[in-house]
Amino acid sequence: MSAHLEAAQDARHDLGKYICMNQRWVSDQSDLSERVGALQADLLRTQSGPGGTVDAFALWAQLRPPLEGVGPELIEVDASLSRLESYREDITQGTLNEAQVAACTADCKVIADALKRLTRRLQKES
Amino acid sequence: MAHVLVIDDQDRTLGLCQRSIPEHSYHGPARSWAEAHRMLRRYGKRLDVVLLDINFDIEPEDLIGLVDPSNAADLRKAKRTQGVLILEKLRLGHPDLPVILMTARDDLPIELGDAAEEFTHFLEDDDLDANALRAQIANIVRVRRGKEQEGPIYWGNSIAMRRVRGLLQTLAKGRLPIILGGPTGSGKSLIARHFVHPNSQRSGSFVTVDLSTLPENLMATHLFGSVKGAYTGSVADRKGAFEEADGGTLFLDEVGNLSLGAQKMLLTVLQEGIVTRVGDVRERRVDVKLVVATNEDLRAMVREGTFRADLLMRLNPACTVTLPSLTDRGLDWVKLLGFCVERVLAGPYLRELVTQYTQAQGMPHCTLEISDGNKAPEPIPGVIQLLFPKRSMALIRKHNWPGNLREFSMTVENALLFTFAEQAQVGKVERPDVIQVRPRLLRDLLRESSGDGTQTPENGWQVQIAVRPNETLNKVAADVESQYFTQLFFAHKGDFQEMARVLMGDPDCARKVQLRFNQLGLKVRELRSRL
Repeated sequence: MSAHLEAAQDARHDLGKYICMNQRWVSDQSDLSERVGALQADLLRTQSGPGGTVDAFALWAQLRPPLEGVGPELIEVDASLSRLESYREDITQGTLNEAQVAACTADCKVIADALKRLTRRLQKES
Repeated sequence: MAHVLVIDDQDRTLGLCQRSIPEHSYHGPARSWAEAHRMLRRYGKRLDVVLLDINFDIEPEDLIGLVDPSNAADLRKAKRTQGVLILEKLRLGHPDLPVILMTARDDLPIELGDAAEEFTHFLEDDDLDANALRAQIANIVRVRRGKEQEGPIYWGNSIAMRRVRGLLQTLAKGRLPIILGGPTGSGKSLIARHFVHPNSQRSGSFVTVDLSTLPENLMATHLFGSVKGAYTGSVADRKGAFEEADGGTLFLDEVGNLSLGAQKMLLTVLQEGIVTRVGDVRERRVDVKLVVATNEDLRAMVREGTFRADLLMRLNPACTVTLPSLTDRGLDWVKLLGFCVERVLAGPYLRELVTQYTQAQGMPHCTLEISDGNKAPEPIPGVIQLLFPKRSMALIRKHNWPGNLREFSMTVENALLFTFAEQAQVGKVERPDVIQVRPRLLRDLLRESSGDGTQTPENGWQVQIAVRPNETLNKVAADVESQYFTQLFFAHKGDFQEMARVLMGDPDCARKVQLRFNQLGLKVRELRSRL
């Protein structure tokens, strides 16, 4: 298995799988506070276990280097995470409005989708 | 409510499940195979489904299948495939426990092999939300419970019984008769009444006639009816069982007892679809689904001249459905115990004994659940656990149950009766929520019922093996070993832990035994299909 494919699988599992997970479990009709809570869990506590928590930004910083130059999907992830980073303070404080939550949720989906596409593409190519 | 075990190195899935699908009871998370193994031992018999992650980012010493912890590639592979390795381990002890793998099938890092059978389900990451998971769990539980038990019938999950069920479901709808074979007490009449008749989609009655209790001279009038004056004492016209069952199902139990005269009349009914009452000339058309049961060999009776060959041919012998004996059913004994306990508790006297006990112990409105093992189980609110220690379970597993389900049910009823009667004498106890069914009581009951006791071979397993010439001695030895392992597999109903216990004195060596099967080229899946 190529190093790129392995790295892509890691990114898909560690980030792509979890960055939308809580948001998928709350309904679009849920209270704003509930949706903000899900967003906080997905972005700020992307990995959680006995060893502690890691946020999505730190995770991507770990996962990205071995993927350098692998394809356009990375640019999508970079761009989405960059937009999410700009909301980081509001996400942490829980002060997002409806429009901001919608934008953040859309970016999370873009990241999950891009990493899934990247893995499938590399699988086919390998 | 379903009992769900979550095996995941992270807390998230469990938390989401508890918050969003609160109707189920969750256990875990088990973060490694060692933890999962402990939880499976504790909750195994109660579990309805397992939620299993694939990737486990845990310490190397907690990983299974890790060859060289210092090799980064090995470590990565062990982490990324941990869920599959856990599934393989889990399947050794729990071959039919439904498992939902929280991944897409396409994303699996390695092939599943034998573990990928009908009890393994997949949940795409993209579908991993409350609604999808709720629907999947509900569907699994419905199918599992529906397949295992149906009213008073316990089907279990064995391939043999699933085949019987499928066959009967098809045959029930047709117009041809059904012969139900199988040993005494295997549930022939229950199945005819509670499965064949409802599935026949007939609106008429279910009528049953036990031919072993009918005097020979009354068989014809009982089955086909009679008119006033047909025989001494016949003071009025009388419908027979065929007319009573018109539009419905007629079940003739112990059909081998049918007199030759009645056999001739039955043949006419089957050929023409008409009955003529004894002493009458008028023919009456009847539409009856006929189900006959016997534990005798009807073909042998034909050869002996006690059963008509033409009648046997009319009874649709090609589709005879033979119910397996209890010991051939590959049962989950704890579940069968639970099923029987529930049924016998419906009886008034036992119910009253249990109520007296729960009130005396200050725990009214409790339900009863079965538990097994030597340790006192953890308390479950609102539940009294009927604990069958390992020795009690061993007695149950090893008894040959000649009276099959009937004997099993009666043994359970007796065991409960004596256990609760004893509890009533004891007064206050430390753990009123745990009641032990003692091995001594079961041993006495089983000895009384069959007079033999268990069937464990004293001097190891003795099997018949054909030694066949081959090109090399190694091939001869492998052939002998294959025959031995195959017989061992069937003797232990495919339970590798039990085979490991017999061979190596340690059930935890099951993996080694399975490995030997692979080395010998024995296909476990194929063997299981023959169980």
